[in-house]
Amino acid sequence: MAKTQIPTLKADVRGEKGSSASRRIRNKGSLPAVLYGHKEESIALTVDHREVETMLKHGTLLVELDIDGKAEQALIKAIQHDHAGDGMLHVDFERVSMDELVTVTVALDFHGTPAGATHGGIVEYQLTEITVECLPMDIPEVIRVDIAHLEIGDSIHARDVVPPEGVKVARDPEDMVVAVAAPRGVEEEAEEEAEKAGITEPEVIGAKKEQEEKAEE
Amino acid sequence: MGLMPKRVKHRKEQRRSVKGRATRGNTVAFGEYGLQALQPGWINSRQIEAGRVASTHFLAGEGKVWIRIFPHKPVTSTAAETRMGKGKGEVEYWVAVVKPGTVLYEIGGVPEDAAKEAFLRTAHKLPVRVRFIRRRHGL
Repeated sequence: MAKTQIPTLKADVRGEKGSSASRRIRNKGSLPAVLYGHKEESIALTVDHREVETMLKHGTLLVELDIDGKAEQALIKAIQHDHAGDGMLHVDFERVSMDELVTVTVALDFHGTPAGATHGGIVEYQLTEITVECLPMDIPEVIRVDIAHLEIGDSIHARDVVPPEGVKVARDPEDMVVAVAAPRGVEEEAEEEAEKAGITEPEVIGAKKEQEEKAEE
Repeated sequence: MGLMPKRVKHRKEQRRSVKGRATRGNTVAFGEYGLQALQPGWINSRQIEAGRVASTHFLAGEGKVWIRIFPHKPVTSTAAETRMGKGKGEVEYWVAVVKPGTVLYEIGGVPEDAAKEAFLRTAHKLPVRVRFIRRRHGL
C-alpha cells in the first residue's frame, strides 16, 4: 500500500569524512550517509542506525530528512552492507520531488500454495523483487502476486504482475517471475565429463606450441 | 578427479597465504539463501562435491543448488618415501581459495527451514566455519 505520510528522519551534517571518522560514527550507533541529486551539491550526513533499520524493515523508501531544521525529501537509493557481518555501513539518499517519476525495486509477496505443488510440482521463484516506475508517494511496500491457481507447467511472467494504481512495472514483460515445474525426482548427476573422457589434468596454455617447436628443432 | 579447470596457464602454483576478507562473491546472487564462509581456507574439489551432494540429496529434487566457488588452484605433493629434492611434486588435487565472507553455495525455490537443514548437512563436509545467510532484498 502506498504511504499517506512521509516518515521523518533526523540527520546531521557530517563534518569529518574518511574511513576512520566513519568508523567512529558507527561505533557511536550512528550511520554515515550522503544526500545528492537534482544537480545540487552533495551533503555528507549522519543518521541514526536504528531508525534507518526500522524504516527498511517496514519497506520505507521515501523519507523526509530533517537536516539541522531544513526539510529535504529523499529516496533511500543505496545501502552498503558489511557482508561479513550483519550491519549497514553507509546509506545513500537521493533528492526527489513529489511530481517526478522514480524507478525503485519492490519486493514481491507471493500468496497461496500453488495447486501444482500439492501434486508434487516444484515452485521455482525466478524473481523475488521487481523494478517499478511511479511517483514517490505511490511506492508500494510490496506487490502481491497470487500463485494459488498455478498448476504444473504454469508460470507467471512480469506482464501478469498487477501493480497497484499509479505504478508501472519497468521490466521486460516476458521475464519469468514464478513457475511450477514437473517433479524431477532425486537425480544423481552424471559423472564429470572430463572423467568420462579420461582427462585427469587440464591442458596447459602454450604447452603444445613449445613441444612442437622443440620437436622441429 | 572432480571439478578442475579445463585449461590453465601454469601446471603448478605456489601456495601463497589467504589474506583479507572477500570483496567479491560475498552476496547471495542466484538463490534465496546462501552458505557464507567465516574463515579463510582452501576447499578442495572433493569437499565441494560432497557439500553439493549432501544438500541436493536432502532436498530430494526440490529447488535448486548453486555452487559459487570453483577449484582453480592446483596443490602438489611429493610422493611418499621419496627423498627431498628432485623438483616440485605432482599435482594431487585442486582447491578453491576462500576468504571470510565468500558465499560458497546458494539454494533457491525451497522454504527457509529446508534450506537451513540442507546447508547444515553441507557445512559438515567443509573445512571452514560457515553461516546461513538470506538474500538482501531491494537495496
